[in-house]
Amino acid sequence: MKILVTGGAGFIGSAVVRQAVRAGHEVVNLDALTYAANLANVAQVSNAPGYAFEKADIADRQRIDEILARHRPDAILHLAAESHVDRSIDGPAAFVRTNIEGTYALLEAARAYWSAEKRPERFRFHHVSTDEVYGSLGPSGMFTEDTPYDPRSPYSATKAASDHLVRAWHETYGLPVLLSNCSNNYGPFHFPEKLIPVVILNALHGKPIPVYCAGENVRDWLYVEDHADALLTVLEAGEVGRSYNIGGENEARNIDLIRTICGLLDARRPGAAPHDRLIEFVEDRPGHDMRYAIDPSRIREELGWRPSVTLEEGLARTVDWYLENEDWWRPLLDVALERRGTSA
Amino acid sequence: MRIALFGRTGQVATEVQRRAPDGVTVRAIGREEADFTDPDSVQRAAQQVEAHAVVNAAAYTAVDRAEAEERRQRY
Repeated sequence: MKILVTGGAGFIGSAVVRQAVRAGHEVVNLDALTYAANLANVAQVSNAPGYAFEKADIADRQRIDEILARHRPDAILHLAAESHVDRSIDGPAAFVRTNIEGTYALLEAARAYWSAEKRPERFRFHHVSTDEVYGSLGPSGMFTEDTPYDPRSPYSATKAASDHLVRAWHETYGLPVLLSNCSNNYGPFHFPEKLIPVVILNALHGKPIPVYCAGENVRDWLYVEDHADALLTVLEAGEVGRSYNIGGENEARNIDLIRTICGLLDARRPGAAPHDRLIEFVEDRPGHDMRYAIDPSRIREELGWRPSVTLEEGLARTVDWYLENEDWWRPLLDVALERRGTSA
Repeated sequence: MRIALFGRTGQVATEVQRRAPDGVTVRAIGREEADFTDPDSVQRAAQQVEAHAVVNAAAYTAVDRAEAEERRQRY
């Protein structure tokens, strides 16, 4: 299959690109190369036959039209998005533009291309979204695909809007779409503004590890390689018009997650142990969602997909990757140490 | 109390202006004063009114035409 991946130089997108190329798919990696994108993330596969890169903005309709006509993909896997909640609090405009207007432009380009190709039955527009569109959970319960949308941050509101557009393009124009909503991802190549790489890098540098509030917030952690595998499964076997929740079956309180990472670092860098002495409780994120948890029944029962690694295994792999790939994260270090999301 | 009402000629906006109770000043703002595709013009218009509250009754509502002209529907 020839897959056009948007946001293929980002964290999750690049994992999809690497796996898709290795699985024998042709891949067109379309990315605007904004701040969190990094072509080093796909360096392992960039010389592979069938791989192409296009620097383009999904909101640039003319460019997208031209790229679709030239590459003629069988599917679009749409991951390009602004994704950092703290940044969405400080500057929501970029989120409205890329996540909503960009998705709109991409949908229109996809519809025009699909019509020009005589509406091939096998074409797919797979929109990748987040479980944050469902809002925040209390101590119990889980998000299913039928949970009402209740986004609470500028980030999740723009993702919810884009999900609704994608469904509307299916219902109204018949575009063969798929949607998936994932829990929090982690793993290699994670841009060092998100919790797990911030914890690892700050701990390595003996800097304070910032924990919002008391670290009581619960997330369901999904190893990025598992997510990429799930996305390719949904793309190939998912039912048109259907949504699939993708979770890691790995719920953890942030504070427990952080202490686990500190323990992994203690074992690998005993000279600096105990790393958890660096934990510092800081003012909470405004509107911080308390808990996310995915009910993974649908993708497990309908598509036979389950995550392959436990949180402990995935964290160990992630910590080892950061220890072995200093040349990747060194240039990004200043970003990791900056606090965002306090302007509300 | 002053209300900045976005939308002036539409069905809802017209009725809001007609029914404003005593003590409530409704200042209706049409699309020639505040262009929803230009956030700065919206901010300027709201500031000029020195409003205590903002009511947004501006929207693109013709579903069939929206399917043909999605671009304007977004605002």
